[in-house]
Amino acid sequence: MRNQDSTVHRLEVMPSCVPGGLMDSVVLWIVLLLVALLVLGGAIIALQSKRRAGSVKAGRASSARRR
Amino acid sequence: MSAASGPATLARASDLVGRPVVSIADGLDIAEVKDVVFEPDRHALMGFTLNKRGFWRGSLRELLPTANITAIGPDAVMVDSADALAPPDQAPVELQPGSKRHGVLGTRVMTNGGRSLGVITGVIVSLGSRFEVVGYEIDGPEQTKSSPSRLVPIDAQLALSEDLLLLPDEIEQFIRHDLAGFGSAVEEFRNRPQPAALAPPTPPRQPTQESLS
Repeated sequence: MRNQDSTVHRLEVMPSCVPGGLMDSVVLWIVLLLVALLVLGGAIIALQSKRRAGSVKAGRASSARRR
Repeated sequence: MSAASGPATLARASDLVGRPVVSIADGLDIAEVKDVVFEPDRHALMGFTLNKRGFWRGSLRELLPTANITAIGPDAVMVDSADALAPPDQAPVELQPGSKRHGVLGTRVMTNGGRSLGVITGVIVSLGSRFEVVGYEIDGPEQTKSSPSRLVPIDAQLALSEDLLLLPDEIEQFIRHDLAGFGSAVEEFRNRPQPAALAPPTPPRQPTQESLS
């Protein structure tokens, strides 16, 4: 009977896997958040680089407003 | 204020992009070069548009006209003080935000004889007594690993349009492959004998008394 009890007990304990699953999903969310932050950061840096990027330009006075 | 005097130093205009602008009065980095702007008919360097210092800061409203530059060194553009930066309405028209500007890199290069030499990949500026564009770096079908870049000199007669840079046929003998010998090529090109077709037309002979009678 004792053995049966312990077996039953062990079966009852099996649902303790649920917190582990919860942990897995929390880790998943953290990873997703980090990836999203990384993508966002990369996009901001790329945008800022583009905004600051300079070039060599020819400028004509003809179409501009003269002082 | 005027441009620094001394022997002409040649540099690629793209190397000036990102160079800090330093005020001599207080030794502060006050801006950094964003765009290098030149006038394509006279090839004069008009000045620079600017970024604020620091990656996260944006464009600066003020502009730096060439006339306000004290020196352009290998590591920085020097100005007397922060007053050298001009508000847009006091800067040359070509530098002002509303002016018509176009990027020159990628513009096709052809000779007057209709031979394509490639596209402009760089602009060579003289930083001597005058800040001016003296040539272009081109990339074309004849580019090889042994001669990775070709530098062509220009003079005041050669205008650059938005679509095309037209060069005389004899330009090919003045092409160089590095900046070291390019200064002399510019001089030789500018002092070359002009072809008869480009010489000023002779005035028509006036009829003399004998021919009229």
